[in-house]
Parts: sequence; C-alpha cells; structure tokens
Amino acid sequence: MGVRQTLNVMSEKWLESRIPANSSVRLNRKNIFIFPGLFGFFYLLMTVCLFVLAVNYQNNLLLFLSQCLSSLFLISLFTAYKNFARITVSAQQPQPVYAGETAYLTVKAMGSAHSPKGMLEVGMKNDKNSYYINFDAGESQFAVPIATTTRGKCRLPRVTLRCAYPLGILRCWTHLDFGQELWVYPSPQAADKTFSEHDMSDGNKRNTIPGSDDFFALHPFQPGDPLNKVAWKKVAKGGEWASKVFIRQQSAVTWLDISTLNTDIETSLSMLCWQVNRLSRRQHPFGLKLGDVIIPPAMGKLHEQTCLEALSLYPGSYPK
Amino acid sequence: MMHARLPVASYLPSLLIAIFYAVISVSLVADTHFWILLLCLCACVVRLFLYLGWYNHAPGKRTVNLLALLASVTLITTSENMDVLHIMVNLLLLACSLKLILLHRRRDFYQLVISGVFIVACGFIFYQSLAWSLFYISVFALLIMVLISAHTPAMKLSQQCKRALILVLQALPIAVLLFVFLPKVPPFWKMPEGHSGETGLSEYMTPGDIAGLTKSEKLAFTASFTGVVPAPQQRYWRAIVLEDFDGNSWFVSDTRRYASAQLQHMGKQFDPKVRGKPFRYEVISEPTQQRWLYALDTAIPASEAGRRDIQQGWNYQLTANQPLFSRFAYKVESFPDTKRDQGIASLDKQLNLHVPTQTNPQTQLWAKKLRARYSDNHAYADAIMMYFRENGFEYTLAPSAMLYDPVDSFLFNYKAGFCAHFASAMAYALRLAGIPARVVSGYQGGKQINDTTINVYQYDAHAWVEAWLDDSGWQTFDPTTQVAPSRITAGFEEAARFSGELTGEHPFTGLGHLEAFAFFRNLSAQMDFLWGKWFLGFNSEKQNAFFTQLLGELSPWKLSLLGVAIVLTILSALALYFLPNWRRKNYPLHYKLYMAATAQLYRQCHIERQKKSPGELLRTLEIQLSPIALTPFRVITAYFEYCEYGGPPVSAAEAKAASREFSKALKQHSR
Amino acid sequence: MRSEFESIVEALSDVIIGKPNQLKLAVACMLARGHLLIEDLPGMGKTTLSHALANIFGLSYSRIQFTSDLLPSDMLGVNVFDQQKHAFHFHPGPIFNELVLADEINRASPKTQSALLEAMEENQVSVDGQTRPLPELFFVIATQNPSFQGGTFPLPESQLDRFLMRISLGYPSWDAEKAMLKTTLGRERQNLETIMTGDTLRHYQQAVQHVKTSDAVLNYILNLVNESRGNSTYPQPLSPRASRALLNAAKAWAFIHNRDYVVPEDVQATFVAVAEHRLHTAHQQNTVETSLSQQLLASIDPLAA
Repeated sequence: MGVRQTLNVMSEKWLESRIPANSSVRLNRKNIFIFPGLFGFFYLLMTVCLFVLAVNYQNNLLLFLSQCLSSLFLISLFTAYKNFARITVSAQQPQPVYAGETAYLTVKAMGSAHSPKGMLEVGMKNDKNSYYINFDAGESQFAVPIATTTRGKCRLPRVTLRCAYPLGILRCWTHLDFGQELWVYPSPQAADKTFSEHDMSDGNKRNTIPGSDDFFALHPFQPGDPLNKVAWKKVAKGGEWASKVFIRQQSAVTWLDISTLNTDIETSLSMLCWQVNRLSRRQHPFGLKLGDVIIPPAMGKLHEQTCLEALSLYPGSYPK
Repeated sequence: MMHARLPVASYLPSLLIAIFYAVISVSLVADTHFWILLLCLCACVVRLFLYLGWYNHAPGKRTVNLLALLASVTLITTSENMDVLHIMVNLLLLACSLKLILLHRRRDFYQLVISGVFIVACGFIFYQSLAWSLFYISVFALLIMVLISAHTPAMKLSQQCKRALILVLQALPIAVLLFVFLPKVPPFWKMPEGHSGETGLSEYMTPGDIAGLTKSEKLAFTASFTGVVPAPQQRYWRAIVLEDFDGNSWFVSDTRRYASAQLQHMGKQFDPKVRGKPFRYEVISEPTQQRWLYALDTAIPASEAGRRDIQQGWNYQLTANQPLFSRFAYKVESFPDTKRDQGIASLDKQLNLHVPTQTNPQTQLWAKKLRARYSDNHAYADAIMMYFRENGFEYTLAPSAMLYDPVDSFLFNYKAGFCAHFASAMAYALRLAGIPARVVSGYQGGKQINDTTINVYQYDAHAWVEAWLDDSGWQTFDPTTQVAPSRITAGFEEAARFSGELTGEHPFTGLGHLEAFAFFRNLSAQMDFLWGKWFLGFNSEKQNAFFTQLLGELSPWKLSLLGVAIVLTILSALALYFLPNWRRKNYPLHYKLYMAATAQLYRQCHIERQKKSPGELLRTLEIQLSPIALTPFRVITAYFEYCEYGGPPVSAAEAKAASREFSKALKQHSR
Repeated sequence: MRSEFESIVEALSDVIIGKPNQLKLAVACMLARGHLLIEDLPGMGKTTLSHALANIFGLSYSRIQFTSDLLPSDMLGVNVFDQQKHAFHFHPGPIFNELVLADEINRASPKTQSALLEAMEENQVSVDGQTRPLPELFFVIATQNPSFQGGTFPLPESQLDRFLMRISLGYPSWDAEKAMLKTTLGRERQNLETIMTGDTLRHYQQAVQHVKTSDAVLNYILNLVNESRGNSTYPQPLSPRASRALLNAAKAWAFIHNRDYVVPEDVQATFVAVAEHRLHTAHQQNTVETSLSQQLLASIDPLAA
C-alpha cells in the first residue's frame, strides 16, 4: 500500500507539472501519451515472426505482408495521433449533490479544425468503469458519474481519456485536470426533533407590519390622510370617505443553530441540511449559526446555496 | 477504444470477423481436415444467428471447452502425415472457431485478429500463384476493414471501407519501398525438408506411383531462355538420379549420399569441363519442400547467387542448399554437348552395377540370352530398345499394379506401362549385362507459352535411363521413344489428347480445356509466370541487379546514400499524409502588415502588444516611439482600422510603403 | 469628440467637477436609449447630475423618492374622483416625464420596483386597466446606496439587467472638491442652459443605430460574452441582452467621438459600466474590490479571430 501510494503521489506531481489544471484543454503533444497497447505489442511480435518465417521460407509474399504490417503500424501511429490531437476537451462545473448521491461531470470533447472519429473512452482516473463518447454517432459529451460518500468540497480527480482509433494497435491517452471542485452537501436527514421555540416558527404564522404591498382594510377617513390612499370608488358610489390601509407580510425569521442539537456532528449537519431545504422550499427566511460561522437571515436560492456550502465545510469527524 | 465487453446482437464487427474466418477456412479446404472446416462454418453460423438476434447468447463455456477437448484429441490422432505448418494451421483454425463461438470480450476479438493474420500468412505459403495471392491479399484487406469497423462501430459501412482503403493506400508505397530496397536476408537457420506434397517426384520411385503424377495439372517449374530454346526432344530435365534398385523400386543411393557428404566435407567441388554452345535459361521452381533442382544436361549454375546457393552433384544433378519452401529462381547454363564422363568413375560403376537377383527370374534369363547374342554394349542396348519397339508394348497412363516380380510382369505379361516401367526394366536389363545403368527421374518436354518461356507441369514427369557404355561416359536412353514417340516430340498434352499413342485417362478433360479457352489459359499462364518472375522471384540477386541498374557500380558509400534516400522518402510520405494543413491561414494583408509591425516592435524595442486594441497601442506608443517610426506605424494602424473596422480609407500601397518605412526606422532608431 | 458633446460635457463638468468619464458615459447611455443606474454613497451628486442632464437636453424632469411605503400608484398616477364632474380624472404620476430620477430605488418594496421596471421595459403604464404611453424620450436614472442596510430590497439580477449602464461618481478629487466649495452655489441649483434639444437627441439616437460595426468588433463582443459564460470565475454570465447593450453603448461612444465606425476601444471604454453590474450576483453588489469586468477585459484579445 505504501509503495502504491508513493507511486500515485509521484505520478500526480509529475502529471501536475506536465498537464496543469485548466477548464478547457486543447490536446497537443504536451499532454498526449501514445504507446502501443497489448494488442499492439502482439501485432509487432507477429510482424517479426512473419518476417522470420518469410526469410526462412524464402517467401516474398510473406515478406511483403510483414512489410505491409510494419508500414501500417507507422501509418496508424500518425493517424491515431492526428485524430486525438487538436480535440478541445472541457468540462462544466458539476452540480452540487448530497452525500451518497452520484454527481455528474459533463465532459465535452470537440474537434475545432477536424471531426474526430472512433470512440473516446472517458472515465475518472482511478475508476475502473469506463464510458464512451462515440464521435461517429455525433456524440460529443458524456456525463461521467462520480460516486460521493462524504460531505465537503472536494477537488475532482483527473479525467482519463483514451482512444484507440484506427486499428487498436496504438493507444492515445491523457489525464486531464479541469480544476473543478465538487460540493457535496451532507445528506439530509429528516429531523423529528423540533427546534426550540424562539428559533422556529413553522412558517405559517405571519406577522403583519404596515407596508405598501397588500390592501388590508378600510379605516374611516381622517383629515390628514393622504389623498392617494382614499378609496375613491367607495366615495363615488356615494359612501363615506374611507382610507385604504396597506400591509406588508413579513415572516418570522428562523434561526438554525447547530449548538441546539445534541446529536453527533454529522447527524446534526444532516438534520440542518434537511431543515435548510425545507425552509427554502417554503420560502421562509432563515439564518444559520454554525459555531463561528453565522449566516444572516435571507431568502432565495443563493442563500440556500451559501448555507449548504457552510454545512458541507463545517469541520467534523471525517478528515478531509 | 472498443468496448471492453462486446455487444451481442447487431454488432457488425463480430459478424465481419466471422465472415473472414468462413472465407479463409473454405479457401484452405485442401489443407485442413474437413471436420475442422465444418466446425469453423458452424461457428460462423452461430455468429450470424447471434447477430440477427435469433439467439440471445452463445453456447456456454463448458460446452465449448468440451468441444475443444474432443477436437484436439481428434486432431492429434488424425494428423500423422502432416508437416508442422499444416498441423499448426489446423490447430489455429480449430482454436479460432471455438473462440469465435465464445467471442464476447475485446481481448477475444484481438486474439482472433492476430490468429487471422497468421492463417493468411499460411495461405501465402501454401499457394503462390497470382490468383491465390490476389485472393489472400483481399482477405487481408478484409481483416483491416474488420479492425477499423471494430473501432468505429457507428460509422456507415461505406465510410469504414473508405477509411480502410485510405490506410492501406497510405501504407502500400512505404511497404513497396521497403520490399524493393531492404536487402534480402538469407535464411536464419537450416530448415528441415518437409514431406513432399501430394504431387511431385520423390526419391523413392515405384514405377506405378509416378504414373499418378499424370493426373495433375500443377505447374512444376518454368524455364525462360535467353537465346535459343531447345527443341522438345532436347528437353530432358534432370531432377533425381536413382541408383539403387531392390527389384521393385528405384531410390537414391545412401552410399551416394554419404560419398557426397564426404566430398563436400573435404572441400572437393564437382567442376565438369564443359564444351559446346550452352542453353542459357532461368528456372523458377515451384515449392517442393525438397532440395533437388531441375536442369538440362550438363548444367552449371550461372550466377553468383546460384554458385552460392546451389550445389553441383557428382551425378550431374543440381541441389539447393535449402529446401524449396517457396518459389525458387536460379540461372543455369546447360552444355548439351559435354561428355558425361567426369565424376568419380569407380564410384559410379560400383553403385550402378549392383543387381538384385532374388526377383524377376524371367528377366534375368532373358537378359542372359540377349547378352549372349550381343556382346557389344551398344548393340545390347539397341536390342533392348528394339524389344520394346517390336513387341507391341503400350504406353499407358494407368498401368496395372505389378506386385510380384514387377519387371517380369511388365516385360512378358502386361507389356503395358508408364515411362517408369520401361526405364526400370531397361536399366535392370543393362545392369544384368554388367553395364552400369541408372534411372533418372525428372520432367520431359513442357509447354511453350511464349517465345522464350516453357512451362513444365507435373504431368510432364518422366523417367529415363542413363548407361555408361565403354568409355563414352553416361549416355541417355529413353525407351519411351520406341513406344510413344509423340510424347517426346510433341509433348504430353498433344500425345495424350490427339496422338492416340497414350492410353488411359488424362487430365485434359473438362470445360477449361476447350479450344475456346486456350487463349485465357495461355494468358493466365503468362501472368502467373510474370508474377513469379518479378515478384516471387525477386531475390537478392535480382535486387542487386536492380541496384546496379539504378546506381551503376555499387559501393558501400552509394548504398548508404540510397538507404538515407529511402528513409527520407518515407519521412516525406508521412509528412505529406499527416502534417496539419500547412496551407497556413491565409491572413489578409492588413493583418499581415500589422502583425509584422508588432513583431518588429517586440524584437527591436521590446514593446509587447499585450492584447491592446490598435488604437490603444498607438496611444501608448506615442510617448515611446520617435516620430520617424511613429508616423508609418500610424499609417499601418489606420490601414488596419480601415480594413477591420471600417475607418477612413487607406490605400494598400500606402500601407505597404509605410510598413517598409517602419522597419527601416526601427532598425535605425531602436530605443 | 463631436463639438456638441464636448460642450455638453464641459457644461456638466461645471456641476460635477472632475468626473469627465462618468459624464461621457451618462451621455452615451442616453444616446443609446438606455437607462442609467448610479450607485453611490449619499451626497455624491447623483441628484445634481440628473437635474443637470435634464436641463442640458431640455427634458422634462421629475424626481421620485423611493421610500419603503411608496405605492405604485404614487409613482404611476391615480384616477381621482372629481366631485363636480362626477367622473374620474387621471392624475399622471411623476413617471410621466422625460427624465425620471428614481432616487434610492432599493428602498422601495419589490412591488413598486417592478412597477417602475415594467414601465421602463414597455414604455407605457397601465393604471386601473387603462394603458397610457410614456413620452417618446424616456429615461430613468435610478440611484441606489451601495451599503447594504437593513430594510432595503436590492434589485435582483434580472432587473439590474434592464439598466444599460451603471456608473459610480465617487469622491471628487482634492482640487475638484475645493473648486466646488469655492462656488457660491450652495443650496441653489443652477439651471443649466439647454445645449441640445430633445429633437436633436432623438435624431442622434437614430444616427447612433447606424454606426458601422464590423465583424471584428462583433467577434470581440462575442468573445467577451462567451468568456463570461464558459469560465466559472464569473458567477453570472452575460446574457444576449448584455451583448446588445455592449454593442449599443459602444456605438454611442463611437458617435460621441465623432466616428462612424466602432473600434475595440469603444467597447473597452464602455465595458465596465455596461457589464460590471451584470456580472455580479445580487448578493455581491457591494463588493467593489473585485472588478470582474476588468478581469474579463484583460483576458480577451481584441485581435483574436
């Protein structure tokens, strides 16, 4: 395990210096590796055997065949390289997921000056599973699944791309780092425990404050009331002068605080996550207190995202 | 990359490789066991069903393994008289058929492809005529197509063919260059002689067996003459000299073999003194797996390579140093006027007087009587010939089996036989009279396909007698001339079809032998000959001749220069195919001028453009450049803005002039 | 620069000292028929500028002070019952003017904000079911305080997009502030003379539309916009409305500088004003240190094909 890890670390360092992180990479000789695969080696071995056979049997046909095979090897080398190079590979930022769910990294591969052929194998660097982008079928992207287990903000591993066009003798591959990070939020867990009352209102109760949004009621007109608030339609009908009163709805603000929960950190975070989701769905403004991190109450998608990110990053029992 | 696990239904590459194997196994029907062929075709049918989706999965692995076991056992027990190559082909085909049934991984596919190439290679070894070679070349192209199809499964079939064709066409010139210019290497090690094929002469001749050769229309060899072509009567092609007789069959003497080996070891060469005008010709022999070569008497190898690769036997026979596994070309000069009295007379006499006395009593009696009458050797020989002529002997292609006392049966009972019978009887009779005699087997005649070339087929196989009469050395006697002279004067085909002198079935029946097709047959014979001469026979000798023609006198310097030239040609071919369009982006003039100006700015003044727009750059340069350089740069910028953004018009001539001025100004005042 | 605009900027500089670039941007914004958003701390001269602009172009001017209890009807107008005539009579609100200053727009409730923005978008208002058109020349100069105070409603991104440009006046220089203090204006507002009539302005607006834009400039704008979309550094990518805004602003800038063709400098000069408020998310409007638009400008080469 130790040797393997050291090798991994060394190879990562070397790859980093050779293929630095970039959101969009154009494949060129700096980041392409090309080498015969196992089939390629057997092919070469066979060519040599045929050559020996040809010489010993003094058979010119066999000789020509072995020479054809070696020149095919040469041609296939350049064809494979030319097909693989100048492909521009980019990846979109993956959407954040909850721990345990599968995140998807959409890898796009396009040829700018040429249309690449064959099938491109895409996969995360140390993952055995492979997925294919079939250029001939017009595909140009694939959403590579990434399994997640723990929460946090993790740097995505390198993506390996392989292609063995045209004859499978030579393989071109590269390990690309798109420099992207994946947010893994804690997996939500329904909280059956209610929060202490001053933090939690169930969101249905609403406080009303004077405002200018909604027509609330009519009061009898008093001299000094602004004329623009007079209910003219009523006056026109011959009624008493009355003023419209407007209110604005304001929900009570909820505070979610991790210190109020008595379970272990991960469960607390999971429960808070569930709460964040629920409150955001109900459009109920809330604030979040995670020890030193205090997120003031607000509403909206961005606020939900900020809170979830804070929950993911909260230092906990799992090492990063 | 191919999928690691191959899909089953509607997966074209699997079907294509099955078709490949079907085609190749059918083509090798003559070389493989019939049941293996059937197995292969069954595997292909299984693949077809899987492709069409009629079945969902192949037979299980256990079934196939059982089948494999059964098959291997059967193969081992039925392959006694096959040579290594044939056994290998059978084994390979068997394994591939089973693998074809089980094909479901990328690895399996690659294994099938590699095996496929080997089988194609074996096809090239077994069959070397033009038609077969073209067939196997197209089968190989099919294999390339299969590989491409496997790696681009979603491409249309026509597009895949196009890709495959492009690859092959790109590879061909390089391969041709390598073929023509890479030096031909001699064999790495000495190959053992194989079993002689089903057809062909052998070192063990039983008179009845050689008659079987008349049924074969296979080519034995081709001889192309420079200068005079010998008349049919002169075309006695010596192949094997049989000096040992056991009463029934003639075979090559072990003593002779031993003696030759000894002489070779001692370094003694057989160097006959030749006389008269020679026939000059080149023989291209079909593969025989043996080492004997065909030539007219008295033959001397006529080229450097010939002298290196061919040995002259002490019995006037030429042998090659390596067995002939492929077509073999060699140049010969034959001096028919030479007296064959050289060699080691004592050895010759000793070997060729030995006579078995247990069998053939009638012949022994007859010989004694005849000898008593004719004491002169020449007269005795003539008498034997006359005996054949005047006693109603028949030349038949289907002689009866003569198991006991065959010479007696032939001479006194059946009186009908093949040339071998006549030769055997005569040689025996001569030996009984104390005259050294032996049987020479080879070919006689041959068909002239054009002015200079003679094709000799297996049906031309012939046996005749050589006898040492007094001091005249070895002399040829052919008893066939007494019974079926047209065989010698007109050739086998004429004699068999038209003369009536030959009885028994001949191979010239069938549609292909109609007069109408004579032209095509001749044409195909010619093409095959040219194919053999120029491609199959392209050995190191021919290569050297070609080089000399190309370069004149050869020297190491010239050869290395040639090598460098070849490498450069290959590299330039690759560059032609693959360099990205070096039709550089055709930049418009304003771009070129502006880029040139900014490049000069950087070179001379170390001022970078740094993604500034032209106007911005001009503003920054107003403080940095001297007016002499600034003014033309302003014009260049203005021209650029005119062309690119639609600013006030500036003429191209003005801009070019400004460009020249600018570079001059920069060179003079580089701040 | 065109002589009229030179005099305009000069006249404006008397009132807002030492900020010629922002003044030019404001004028360009009006030429491009766009609405302007001024974001500044209180007391920088936002109102002064708007008033001055209205004077210079001879536009009718009104100021709407947005408070948290401002009703849409306060802004748009109200049907008043005339007791004598026993009929409803429409009293147009302050929005029915050619230059409207919407002061402290981020104080009003979202409902009122949307009423204004709708009017800006459609050039008409509907009150009690009846639609009434706004004047042909209609500009809104909205102001907001950059500091995030309680009880304010920052404009959401989709609404920010409707403002062609966002400028910020900022503190005047030492000399400028000194000069300002020296003037005897004090509280009185000097009414500037009209240099350009509304008709001329309308005419110039049409001329701006006809400024030549080459493919190279369009490519440059598209490169900028696409970089914001592809790169994750920019949280809010630029929309096609932004591309159009960039183009119009660049055309106006070219026009001001007496050119009938657009050059990349025009795009660069107006880019920050046009793009900065679109690149940020509403939450981050107040962070001034990271200038995303500067970053974006620096990363794209105008000559890249």
